[in-house]
Amino acid sequence: MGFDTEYFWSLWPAIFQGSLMTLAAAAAGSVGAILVGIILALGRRSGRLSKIICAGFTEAIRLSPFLVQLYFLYYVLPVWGLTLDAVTVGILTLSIHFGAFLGEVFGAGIDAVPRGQVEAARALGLRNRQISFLIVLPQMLRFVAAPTANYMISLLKTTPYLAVVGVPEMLGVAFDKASDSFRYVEPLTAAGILFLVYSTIIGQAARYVERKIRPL
Amino acid sequence: MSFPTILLWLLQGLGVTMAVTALSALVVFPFALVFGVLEYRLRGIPRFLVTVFIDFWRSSSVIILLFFFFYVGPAFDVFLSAYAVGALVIGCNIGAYGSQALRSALETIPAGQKEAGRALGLSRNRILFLIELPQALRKVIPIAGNEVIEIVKTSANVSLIGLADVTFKAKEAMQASHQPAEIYSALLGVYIAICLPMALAIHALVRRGQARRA
Repeated sequence: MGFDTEYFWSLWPAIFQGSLMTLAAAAAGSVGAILVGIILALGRRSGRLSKIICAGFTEAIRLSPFLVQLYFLYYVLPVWGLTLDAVTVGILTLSIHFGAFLGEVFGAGIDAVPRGQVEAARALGLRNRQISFLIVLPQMLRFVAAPTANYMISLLKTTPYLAVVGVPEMLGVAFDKASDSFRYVEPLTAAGILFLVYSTIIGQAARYVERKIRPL
Repeated sequence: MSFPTILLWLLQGLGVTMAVTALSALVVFPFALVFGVLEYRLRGIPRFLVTVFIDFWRSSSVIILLFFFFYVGPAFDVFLSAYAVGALVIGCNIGAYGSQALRSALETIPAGQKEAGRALGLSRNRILFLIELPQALRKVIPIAGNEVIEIVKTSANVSLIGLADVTFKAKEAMQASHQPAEIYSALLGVYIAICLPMALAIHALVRRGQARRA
C-alpha cells in the first residue's frame, strides 16, 4: 500500500481544524480540572464526612482508566436524565479525572507552606481571608506550578480519547478521513505528527514556567 | 441482566486484561532500566539521541500511537498482532516515564558514594553497576509499583484495537442489554478491585521504608 504523499498533504487543513478542537477541549478541561482540584483539596481539609467522600472519590478516579470513566459519563449520565453532547461529556471527564490528581497536588501545596508564615501573618494582625489570599495562596502556587504544568501536559495527551465518543478533534477527524478513503496510514501519520508538535511546544513552555516559578 | 451476571460477563475479559498487562510489563521494566541508565551514563550526542527517543514515547498520546502502529504496520507489510502492538506501545510509553524516574533516582545518590568507589579504584562502570544502580533501584520500587497500576489502567485501550479485555466485554454487554449504569459501574469496580490492593501494598511499603529510616 505504501504512503501516498499527495493524499497526506491534502489532509492537513481538516486535521488542523480538528486540532483546534483538541486544544479548545484541553484548555476547557484544564480550567475544569483546576476547579475540581481546588474543591477536592478544600473538601479534604473540612469536616470528617466530606473528607471521607473526597478521599474515596479521588481514589476511585485514580485507580480506574480514563477510557472507562469517559464511557461511564457518556452512557450513564443520560440514564440519570442529564443528556449532554459528546464535547461537554469529554471536557467533564477530563476535568474530573485530572481534578482528582490535582486535588492531591494542591493539598500537598497547602501543607508545604510553613506554619510560621501563617503565625507571623496573624501576629501582624492580618485577617483570615488576607492570610489565605496574600500569604498562603501565592506561596502555594509556587509549589504546585511545576506538577500542575505536568498534569496539563498529560491532559493534552489524553484529549484524543474524546474521539472514541465521537468528538471531532484531531484523532476523530483522522478516523473520519480514514473511513472515507480506507487509507489509515496518512491520516494517522498527520495526526501523530501534529500532536507531537503540540505536546513538544507545550512541554517546553511548561519547562520554562517551571524554571521561572520555583519554590523559594 | 442481573448485576452478578454482568460481573461474570465482564470477568470473561479478565484473562486478556491480565495478559496485556503482563506483556506490557515485560517491555516497561527493561525499557526503563536500559534507557534510564543510558541517559544517566552517556554524554554529548549519544545522550541527546537517547533523550529524543525517550521524549518521543513520552510526548505522544498512547491512543494515537496505538492506532498508528496497528494500522500503519500492515501498509508496509509489517504484521503485528494486537497483543504485540498493545504491549509495545503501552510498554514504551510507560517505560519512558519509568526511565525518567530511574535517571533522577541515580542523580540523587550522594556524590560521596561515587567518590568512595573511585577511591577504592573501581572503574566508572563498576561504580555504576555495583554502587549507584543498586541504591537507585531500591528508591524506585514504589514508583515501579505505581507503574504496574498505570499499565493495568492503560491496558483498557486495547479494547479499541479489538482485543476482548474487560472494557471490550462491557461494550459487548451493552449490546446484549442496554443497562449502562449497571455495566459501567461494574467495569469501574473491576478496575478498582484490581488496582486498590496494589495501591495499598505500595502505600504500606513506602510507610515501612520511612519507619526504617526514622
